[in-house]
Amino acid sequence: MNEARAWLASGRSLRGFGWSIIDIHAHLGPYVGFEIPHGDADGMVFTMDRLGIAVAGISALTAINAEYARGNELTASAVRRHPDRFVGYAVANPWEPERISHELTRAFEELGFRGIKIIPSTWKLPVTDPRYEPIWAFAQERGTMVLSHTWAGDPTCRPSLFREIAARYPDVAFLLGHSGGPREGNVEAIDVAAACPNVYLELCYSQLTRRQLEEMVHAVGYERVLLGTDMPFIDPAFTIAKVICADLPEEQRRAIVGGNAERLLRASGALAATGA
Amino acid sequence: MRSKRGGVGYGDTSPPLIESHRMSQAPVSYLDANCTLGRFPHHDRGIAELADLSATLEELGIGAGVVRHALGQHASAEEANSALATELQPDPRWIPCWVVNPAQDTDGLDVVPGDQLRAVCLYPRRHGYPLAPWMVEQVLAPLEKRRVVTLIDVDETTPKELYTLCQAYQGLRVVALTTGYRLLGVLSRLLATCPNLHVELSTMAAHRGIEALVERHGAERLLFGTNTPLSDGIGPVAALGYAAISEGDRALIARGNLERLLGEVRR
Repeated sequence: MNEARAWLASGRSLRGFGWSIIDIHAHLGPYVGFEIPHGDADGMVFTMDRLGIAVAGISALTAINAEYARGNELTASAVRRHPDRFVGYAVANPWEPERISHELTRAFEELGFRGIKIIPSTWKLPVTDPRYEPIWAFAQERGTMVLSHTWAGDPTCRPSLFREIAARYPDVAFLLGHSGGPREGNVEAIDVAAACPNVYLELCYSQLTRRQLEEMVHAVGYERVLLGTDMPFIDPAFTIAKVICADLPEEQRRAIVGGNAERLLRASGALAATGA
Repeated sequence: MRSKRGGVGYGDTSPPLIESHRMSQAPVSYLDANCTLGRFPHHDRGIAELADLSATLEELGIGAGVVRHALGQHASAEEANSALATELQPDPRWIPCWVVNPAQDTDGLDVVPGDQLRAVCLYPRRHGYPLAPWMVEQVLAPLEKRRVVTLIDVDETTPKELYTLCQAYQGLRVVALTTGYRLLGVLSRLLATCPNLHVELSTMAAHRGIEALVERHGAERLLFGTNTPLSDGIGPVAALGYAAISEGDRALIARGNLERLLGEVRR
């Protein structure tokens, strides 16, 4: 802990201390709800360099909160500008189920995306709704991962809703974004991940503590716990610090902060696509 | 996928890594503006003993701070202040933050030794009163004369109330605590219009938020804090460590600003 804390307090890139960091859950500005300084691609890469984040999986906030096709273009633009730093996640809104297959195919084949991001709480449509089926089917066919926002008690995306979906699509890696957030959601996320081998726990939650992280690892194993930061909503230093300084063996911390994501992104063909 | 530099990512187009110029310098010295002793009724994160709170913070490299007591939120000002007077007495590194409650006949300060009155905190929402001059005048006017550091959790008030308070008591050193990352733009406007407002950074997790505030308003009104035990203090330690600001500004935020404010309190 003392060594890790000293690294963090030094402000030196963690890459210089031998850490390989991948952020599996990031976004891209602009955002309408509150101010995000330097939330563009270059501003995020500046932050990534300072901390030592090698790669971030991103979806533009415009894609998840407003118009997904327009947002997917913003994501693609950022990936083109920094092809070895960003992996694009495609967004398609289930309120237009007839367009999902076309948009996801376009995003994967023309824009080079290698993951899918969904946000049922914003869309106000529970993940159990049949209109999500084209998303699941596409992910199953392509062997790609799906990252979903999850939150305690949210009727659209509380973690328990993923249990049945994950069982029906065993070849899809489902990443529970924020691991359900507050305590009761986190407990539920752990239960689902413990029951479903294709469910992963993603860590970005501003109130996450190291103790909570350690509980997740002890419950489901370190191989299915992944670093996400929600950048540029949140300064990634907050979440990275909790992993680096957690009371876990170094091998496990290294896997959580990057190794697990690398494995998952490789399976999706993502890292090969970056050319990095 | 392995880059030429041997790690994941970092293609040839990435800018050079920013290497530290700080390793050879003295470690950052922190003064925590936001930590709390005592148990909380709604979860298990409370720390009942000063020795344990001290150990938790020392693990983060923090050896001093301004300490509140959870009794102030969940019992009464008198109980919190009596507990602080007793429990912090053996260790002067930890400076008591007394609770003041203007909505009660006894505001809580009668049990506070006068020479130890340097910081107070208000809980308008929990204690059920509006943070308006007509409500707090009797309590805050004397504190303003002494320039007492006055801490208020952002979720205990509103930006409008904070603005009114700062304007009405311009000699009061007001500190907005546990701001969260969503309020950056609002706090920035408040800092621009209220020279006596300060911002504690434990939960100011906005992307490059510290940089933005320093660039716009200078570092002098930003205070390091951890929100221990409700938050994990390693987050703000790392955020301050990685903020792209000068070493002088970093030292001010970590310790110097709060030390200066506490030193300016009139006896």
